[in-house]
Amino acid sequence: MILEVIIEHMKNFQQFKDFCKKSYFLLFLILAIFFLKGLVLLTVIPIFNGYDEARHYNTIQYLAEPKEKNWPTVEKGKTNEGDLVQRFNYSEEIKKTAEKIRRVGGEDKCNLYETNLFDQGFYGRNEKEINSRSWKQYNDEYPVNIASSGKSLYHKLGAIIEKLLSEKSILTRFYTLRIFSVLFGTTTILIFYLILKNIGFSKKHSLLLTAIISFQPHFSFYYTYINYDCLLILFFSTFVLGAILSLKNGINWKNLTLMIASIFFGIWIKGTAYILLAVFVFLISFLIYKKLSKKTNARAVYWLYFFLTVSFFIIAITLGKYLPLIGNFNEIAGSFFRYFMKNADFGLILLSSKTYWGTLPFGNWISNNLISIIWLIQFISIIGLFIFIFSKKKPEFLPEKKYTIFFILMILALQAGIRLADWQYFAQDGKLELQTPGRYFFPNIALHITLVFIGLGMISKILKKENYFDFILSSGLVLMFILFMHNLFNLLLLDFYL
Amino acid sequence: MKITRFKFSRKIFLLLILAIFLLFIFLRFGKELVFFENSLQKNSSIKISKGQELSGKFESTRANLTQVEILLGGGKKLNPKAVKAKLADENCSKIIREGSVNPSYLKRKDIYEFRFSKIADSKDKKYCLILGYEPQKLDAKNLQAYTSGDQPTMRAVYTNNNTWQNINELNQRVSQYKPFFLKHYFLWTIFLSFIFFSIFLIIVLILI
Repeated sequence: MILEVIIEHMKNFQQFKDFCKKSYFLLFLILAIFFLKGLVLLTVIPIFNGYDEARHYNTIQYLAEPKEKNWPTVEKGKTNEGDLVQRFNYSEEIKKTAEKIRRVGGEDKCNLYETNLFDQGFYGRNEKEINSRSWKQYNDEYPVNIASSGKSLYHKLGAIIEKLLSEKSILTRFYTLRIFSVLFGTTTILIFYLILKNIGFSKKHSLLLTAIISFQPHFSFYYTYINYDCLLILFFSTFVLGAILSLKNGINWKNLTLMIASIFFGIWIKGTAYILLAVFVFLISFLIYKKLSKKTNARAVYWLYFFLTVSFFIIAITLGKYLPLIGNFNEIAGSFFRYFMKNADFGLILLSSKTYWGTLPFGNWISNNLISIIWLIQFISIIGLFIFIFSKKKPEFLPEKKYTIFFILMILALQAGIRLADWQYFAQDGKLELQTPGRYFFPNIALHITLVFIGLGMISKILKKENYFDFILSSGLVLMFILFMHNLFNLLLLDFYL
Repeated sequence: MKITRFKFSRKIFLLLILAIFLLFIFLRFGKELVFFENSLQKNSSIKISKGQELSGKFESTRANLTQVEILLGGGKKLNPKAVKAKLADENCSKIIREGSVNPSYLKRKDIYEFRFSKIADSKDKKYCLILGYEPQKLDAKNLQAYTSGDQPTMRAVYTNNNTWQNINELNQRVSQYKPFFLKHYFLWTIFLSFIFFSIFLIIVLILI
């Protein structure tokens, strides 16, 4: 009898084990964990502590205001007093909430002696006052401080949620918007998996890589903020999916629609998506050329000429609008040289890398050495990537070269786009306004991490170890998870609450 | 057969790495689970020369006093081991705890910690903190201590009776200024499910 029960349990356990191995279950688990992780982080990170979060939330509030603004307004310039919320023209509700909670972003956050004053219990001492909604939920200080002139799709979608919850407290409205950012992130992670699976990784390797990307600490933090980049990165990933499907199956209306829709919505969110247009033109030209090189087709040649002419005008208009192409060649070259020299600073390069990985400035061993370790891994990986690209035969567990080259192209295009935008600001103000923090490069995070592991996979093949790639990916996952947990439990929670 | 054993040990190795690092992370987290009640205010600073002492009094508002945080200047040049700290009764006569200071774990600018074994009956009692400066170098610069009024800038830090109570107090702090669906039991559920499922996922992905 006991033996039968044991055998029955063993069978059930075996069924459970088999179920756990199923890729759709593991994918669901990765997505559910990303969502839960987002909920953890959005709760731990205090209100308005994300990058420009008060500004983005104010933009949403501004768009949610009644169209007929029949309240008195005052003209008010920017002040240097108070923290980063108090200095700008935001709604009274935002400013008062920040004041009552005290711990807000920017310089005030750096004032480490002015941490929140906590109370016993689950309610802050000013929470009741904040929840009473006694402050103005609209902007009466002009010019209103808003992002992208309030035209971004992200803010428009946010305004719908803000309006739906307008009778709720600012805490409910603000944190609900953060939850929507996490939902965008979860969808992005799903798209990453589809990209990895479609370029030729096995289901297991795709799952491992998706899990690694999903635990990148700074990327995880970023997807808990109210910020239009959350939606921008999603459309970058759908564009990449459309592009790799075109490379895989050729152009069809589905891939084309996916790419064009991604570019359209991406540009509607943020100007960064203009680089997708350039990549799109290049990709389509390449695919048409590839088709033409196989068979001469007069109709296709005409289409190619037409496409290239239209593309040329679109790019020329875009460049004319977004680049400092004023003056003669010498002036433009001089401006670019000055910009280049200003950027040739190891500290700035390091800053991009540090902020990409989200190393917090606490001076412990991990914070001090993380970048060196990552750069060492990347250096080894670059050697592997070179060998991979120039080798005649690829290892069976790695994707085809065309995808790798496309990923590199995407990285170069985004780098060029951001540097050109930075140059534009530099040409106007004579100083580096954007400082190119690492978060600007997050749209390509999945491609970047994938390239790193392709390089490492190639090195593993050279070493001729059986199943070594599995071990590399599993190690990457363990290390990324540990890094995330260290950031959460040994840095963030201690910094904000202890 | 040999290959199977080799694969198996590689997976165990990764699981061990995961377990060891998680243990370190949670142990460090547990060690830092202490709670301050006041903010640190610095208005001015004074210099303390070698052999000189500076004292200040404070009232402990809670039981289980376990640390006093102080603000000292000097940055990286300061050798914190040279700063001797003593905790005495309110008359500054009877020494209760003594030791030296350490930079705060997060290396927050100027914050130094004087840690000691917790004083269970510290609630509503007054204490005196005495700081002494005993550098090894003969030509060492004077110690700069920040002050608020005539007192050194400092704040009392407390623990609870056990880790469970500490975690519960942390839950209370994180819950404050959050909507109801991110408070208390909801927060517990979110945190615990995240930890459990993410460790489960990683174990499964390593083992399959």
